[in-house]
This record gives sequence, C-alpha cells and structure tokens, in this order.
Amino acid sequence: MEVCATEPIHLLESIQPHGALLAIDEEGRVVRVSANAVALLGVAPDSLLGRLATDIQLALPDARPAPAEDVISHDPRPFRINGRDFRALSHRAGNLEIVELEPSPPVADAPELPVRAALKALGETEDLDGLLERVAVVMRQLTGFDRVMVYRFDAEWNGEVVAESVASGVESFLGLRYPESDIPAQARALYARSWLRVIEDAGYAPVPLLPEVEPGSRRALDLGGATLRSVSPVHLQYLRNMGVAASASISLLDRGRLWGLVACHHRRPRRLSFASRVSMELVGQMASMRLGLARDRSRLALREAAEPRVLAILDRVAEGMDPLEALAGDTPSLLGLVEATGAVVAYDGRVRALGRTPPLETLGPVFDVLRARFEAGETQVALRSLGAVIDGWDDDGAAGLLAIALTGSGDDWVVWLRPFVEEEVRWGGAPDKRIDPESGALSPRNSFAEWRQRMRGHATPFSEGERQLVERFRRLLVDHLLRQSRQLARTTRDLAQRNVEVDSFAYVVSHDLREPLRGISTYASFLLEDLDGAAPEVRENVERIHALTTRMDRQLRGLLAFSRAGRGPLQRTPVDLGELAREVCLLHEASAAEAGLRLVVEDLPEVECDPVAVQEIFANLVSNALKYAASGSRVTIGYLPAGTPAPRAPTLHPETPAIYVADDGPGLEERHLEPIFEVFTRLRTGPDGTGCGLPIARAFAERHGGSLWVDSAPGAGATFYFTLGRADAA
Amino acid sequence: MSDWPTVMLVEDSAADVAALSRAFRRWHGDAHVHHVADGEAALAHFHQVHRGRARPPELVLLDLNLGRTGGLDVLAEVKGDSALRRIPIVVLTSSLAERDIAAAYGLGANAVVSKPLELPDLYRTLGRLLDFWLLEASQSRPSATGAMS
Repeated sequence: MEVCATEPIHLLESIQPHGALLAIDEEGRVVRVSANAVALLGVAPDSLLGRLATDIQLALPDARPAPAEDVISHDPRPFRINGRDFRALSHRAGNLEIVELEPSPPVADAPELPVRAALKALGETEDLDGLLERVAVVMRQLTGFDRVMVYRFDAEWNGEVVAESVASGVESFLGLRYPESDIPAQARALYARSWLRVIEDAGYAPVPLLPEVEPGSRRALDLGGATLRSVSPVHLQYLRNMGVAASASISLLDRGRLWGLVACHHRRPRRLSFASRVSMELVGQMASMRLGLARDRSRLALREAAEPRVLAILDRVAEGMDPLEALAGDTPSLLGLVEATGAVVAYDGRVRALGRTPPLETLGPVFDVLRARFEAGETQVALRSLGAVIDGWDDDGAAGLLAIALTGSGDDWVVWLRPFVEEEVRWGGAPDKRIDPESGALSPRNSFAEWRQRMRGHATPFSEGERQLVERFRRLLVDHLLRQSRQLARTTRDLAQRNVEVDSFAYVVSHDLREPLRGISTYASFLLEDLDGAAPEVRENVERIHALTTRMDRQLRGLLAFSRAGRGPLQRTPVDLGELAREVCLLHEASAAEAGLRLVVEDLPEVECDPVAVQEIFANLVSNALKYAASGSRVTIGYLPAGTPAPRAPTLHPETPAIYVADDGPGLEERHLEPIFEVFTRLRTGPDGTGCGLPIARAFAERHGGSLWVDSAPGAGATFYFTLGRADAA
Repeated sequence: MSDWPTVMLVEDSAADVAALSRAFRRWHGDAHVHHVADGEAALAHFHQVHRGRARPPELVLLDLNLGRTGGLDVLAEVKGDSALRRIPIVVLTSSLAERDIAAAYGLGANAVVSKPLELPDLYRTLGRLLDFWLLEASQSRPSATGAMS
C-alpha cells in the first residue's frame, strides 16, 4: 500500500511514446528532451539538447502569449518540421515551459455526436441522476469508447460507478465500488488540476526524458500538466487486468472540488484527435457546472417540501407553547422533516420521544457524545454509526443520528435517528487484498468479481441537503427560542416588580391595619371588664367582637409572615434535616399528645439550605398535619432520594431529595390540591389557623429554587412533599 | 406622693393609653404616669431634663409608631445624650418587624417588649415591667444639675 500511496506519479520522468516532449528554460534553451524526439521529429542527434528553441526552427509563432501554468486546454498550434506536420501544446511547469509535440492529424475519429448537440443534451436534464446518465451516454457518443462510467467519490474518497454507458458485449461495472486506495491522494490532486488524462495504449513502453534524472527527485520534471505524462506502472497493470487497452478520464469538479470522474475504457488501443479531447473537456466542464445546479435544485426541492412543516412547528414555539411540547407535538411532527424512524427532543432537563427510539433512559451515552461535540464547537452533529463512538451500542433501531443544538447549554437537542441498514457493498475486487502475498508489494487486483461486504451498524448517511435543511431549521428555532426567553425575562421582571408592590402592600396592610384593630380589641375588652350586670346576650356579643378581632389579628400576622417569606436573602449552610425536623417535632409534642398523635422522624439527609426557612416549612407542615391526622395515628417525616419519581411532582424525577410530611387524615379531593396553597383559602382557615401556613411553606421552598406540593386523595391521607433546589443553582 | 417614681409614657394611640392606664391602676406599686402623645412633646420634655429644669423619669415606655418624630428618633436623641442615656427606656411596640426591633436595640433601648393584644396579658406584662424597673433594678439617677457641670 505504501508504495502506491506515496508514489510521485507526476515525477516519473517518462512519457507515453506517441509524442515528443521538450522542456525549455527561461532563456529559450532546451534543457530536457524525450528520448524519442530525435526520431519522431527527424532531426539530427544532439540538435536539440542545449540549443535555443528558435535555433531548432521549431515553427512556433514568435509572439505567443506566455502559457498559463498547468493549463492544457488550449488550442494546439500546428507547425511543420522537416516536412512533417505536428501539433504543439505548451504549458508552464515552474520556470520551465513544456512543449509537447504530436504528429498531426492523428487518426480521424469524427464524433457520432457534434459537441454542440452534446452540450445541449446536458442542459436539458434537471435532476442529478438524469444528468449523470446523460454524461455517460453523451461522452460515449462523442468519443466512441467501449465503456464510459461516471464515478463518484464519497466522503472517504471511495468511489462508486453511478452511471454508465457501454457498447454491446462489454461488461458493466455499474454499481461497483472501489476503495479509496484505487485512486490515491496524489492522483486525485492531479485530477483536480487538469480536466483530462489519456492513455492511448496501455501496452506502451514509457519513453525516458534526457538527460536522465532520478524519478521522484527534486530535479525531476513536473509532468502533472502534460498530456503525454506516463502513468504509474501499477495503473497500467490495473488496466491490463481489466482488459482495457486505452483509457481516458475527465474530472468532474463541484465548485472546484473533485466530485468524481468520467472514466472511459476501450478494449483496443485508441488515438484521440485534439478535437475529441477538447470536446471531452468541454463536456466535463459543462457537466461540472450542471452538477452544482442539480444539487442546488434538489436541495431547494427538499427545502420547499419541508417548509410548511418547519413553519408549523415554529409557529407552535412562537405561540409561547412550552418549547418541549411545541417540538414534540404532532401534526405536523418533527419526524417528517428528514427521513428518520425516530426522533428525540431534549429540552430543559426533560426528554420526549417521537416515533421509534431506544428507551429514553438508555440515551445517556448519546447525549454525552453530543455534549462533547457541542463543547468542541459543533451545533450540528451527524453520525453514521453510534456503535463506532459508543462502546457497546448495538441498538439496531438507532444506528445513525442527525442532531441540532437548541440552546447554549449543550444539553438541549433535537435528534433524528435512523436504523442500521444491511448495506451490500459490491466492491470492484476485495478492498483489503491488495498486497501481493508473494512479493509483499502492491499489486493491482487480479479479480474483478464483485465483493460483497456487509457494513454492520451503519445507517444511511444524512445527505448534505438534509443537513442544510435542519441547520436552517435550527437557526430559525434558536431565534424563536431566544425571542421567547427575552419575553419571559420581561415577564419575570414585571412580576418581580409586582411582587415588590404586593410585598409592601402586604406589609402595610398587616402592619398599619393592626393599629385600629388593637383599638377595637382593647375597647371591647374594656366593655367586658365593665359590663357587670348587663344582659348575658350583650356580653356574648361583645365577646364575639373581641374574638373576631383576635382572629383578624392572627390573620394579619400570617399575611405579614407570608410577605416576609418571599423576601430577604437566604443563608444556605449544610443542615442536618433530621435534627431540624426533630426540633420542630419537640415544639409540637404537646399539641400532638393532646390530639393523640405520634410524630415520627425517619432518616433525613443533610442538605444545603437556610435552616430558619426550612424550620418554618417543617413547622407549617407539621402543624397542618396535626390538624387533620386521625387520632391515634401518626405523622411521618421522611424523604425520597434525588432522582426517585415522586407522586405529582412538578418534575418527574426531582434532582434533589423530596422531603415529605405524611398524615393519614381525611385527604383532599383533587380539585382542592392547588387551592390550599392560596392565602386565606376558606378551606384552610379554621378558627385557629392563620390561613397562611401552607403558602408560607411553599414560598420558602420556592425561594430555595425547589417546590412544595401535595399528593392526596379522599380517604387516603395527605403527603406534602418539598424540594429545596440545588445550592449551586440558587 | 412626690417621692413616687415617674413613668413617662410616650404613646399616641388613645386606645393603648387607655389600656395602659388601666394596667397602671391594677399594678400593686405606686408611680406617677407622665403621658406625652407624640415624639415632639417627648423631646421637648427631655430638653428640659437636660437643662436641669425637670426631673428625669425613672422609666420611659416608648411607642415606636408616633407620627412625624418617631419613637426611634426619640430613642436616638436620648441615648445619644451622655446626660440622659442612663434613663431606662423600654420600647413597647405592636410592630413585628425585625428591623424595628434590631434598630431599637441598636440605638440603646434597654428592652423591646411586644404589646400584648389581650388586656389580661397586657396587665401581666406591664406589671412585670414596673416590678423590675421600678422595684428591683437599682438605678443610677442623673442629678438634675449633672448635665450642667
């Protein structure tokens, strides 16, 4: 392999024998000459090397423009020497001018198809497949080769014959694949430089250049732009093994990059006229241009087909739906945007599946890969084989993916999945049997039987068009999400402002209204003291006034406490929640005993939180439970570890422990589960309650970045849960 | 009668004055109650004391919520005056605001006591206050002319 992969094929120091080659330096002196020049031109030995080109009377026009480097597509200049007609092609290689001389006219090969008609035919096709088909047909009609193939490189530079035109009786190579090493990098580099290569007779004997120079050395002549360039002996052997006597290849470039080749084979040696060569180049250039057009058109078609779907999904996002719901929604679904059997949306710590996907809990390693790629700066990731990047991944339903990042977090993605395909690759000969077992040297394959190989764990790759489509979708989506989050920020700011107002209102209400209330209470008390001898109902009424002032005062104090629960800084510190809960229980022991209840504190974790606030939460939940638990039963304080599903939790798997206070009281109806957290809910405000205990507890939990909720059903008791958020997130 | 200790009550709420008056009457000891209804009147009186033209009270019961010149202003003035700061001042407040309580202590209040809502509780609280400050605590009284020297 090494031999071929490094062989300097443009520095082989030899040419094909059907023409002669001169290299002329800047002073016009002939410095290199092919060994066949003397005989071919009919000049005296020693009359070329070292002489001025003008002295040799090569009838080259005097005022010729300086030849452009590496350009061979120009009109050959006719000239006559010693009564023989030649055509001269010249081009520049470094500081030398290379002149190639071929006897003219070569064998006439009038094309079946005029060039103009050939080019017109190419212009009539719109889609890529049709274009490639036509390139093959037109090229064969134009040149008369036995077999014309359009050969396309994939991303790894393996080739595949994607279109073909063959004469009757000639074996078809359509659909065969060739490994990358068949046309190695240095050959591909040459192909990108020049449009056309011709081998007129694969059985030729190479003609060396004089004076002799070590092939591949620094002084070797760069023949990369020469039409007479002799090709690698390996390549000649390769052609002979295929039964090919003459060949030509025309480059197909897509925006300057080598896209593929038109490869022409003939079973007998074959000369090509200059006109044919120029036509072949023209067809190659025209086809290259149409390639880009056809590709753009197919992408446009893909985009147009996807547009209504894209807009509908974006509309859902723009309407302010939860982005996860908007993206995971049906009619239309994300799934149809590109060809995929499943899709996964991950947003804000939540994941949704569409179509056929692996179990969501197994996707961790996939998101690890995506996050790593995101951190390396990629916002779109396409993988053909997850098994190649994740150890032990063997989910056949999700072998390949295309993913777009939605936010700057690296954790929010839309992922499309493709199943593994049992792809049959028909290799033109086994790709891994290229080393001659006897000599150890590279030898061209002897067998051209197709080689079947299964590509395990690979999905059909996502096309460039699909990748562009989802990239556009990503940009629009990110735009929408940003707009939405700005809107959200504005709303949050407004809310914060409203909160400040509500707080100060609550403070004023609770503080300033207590003054007159105290007055009413005081005077009612005076009346009670002074009422000796009044009618009993008078006393009762005054007592009621007094009782009402007492209750109202308690409510005002509750309101004040609630307004405070939402303000002021939290002081987070590691707190043993078990100890804290036991302290709270100690304070409530008397009232528990009175109600015939037991308070049980199970194991509780240590958590970073504000102990004063959390004590308040416990106190409110415990005193609430004591009010409702059935006599003789118990109130239990415990917890669910982080990640455990908690009933009715706002997030399915809370990422911090969920602490609970459970009673076996009458429980709550579904419709009461939320209202009990509103201030002064009638449901909650008993004669001895402030009506603010649960709202206060919830406010404290929320200030920790956590939440507080209840799970209950009539007759099933009530369990109040709370989480305290992550210390680093608050 | 002139030997009775004087308790200065700075309170603008008529209801509270009435309630505290009842509480005084129920106290077992003897004391004069000198009521002023706002912060300005209180400060005017303390200026007289500072100049030696009035006897300093043995105890001040100070409400915080007094209108223009608040209880905290009075407290700051008295406790900032070296001739007056030994006069014990007990802040009686219905405010539950932490910051008010902290501010009062910060300015040198001798105690901050929450005004109970219920009369019997008020009687008990005031009784204990008067017992402690007028009967048990030894007071170092500023002489009427001390501030002048």
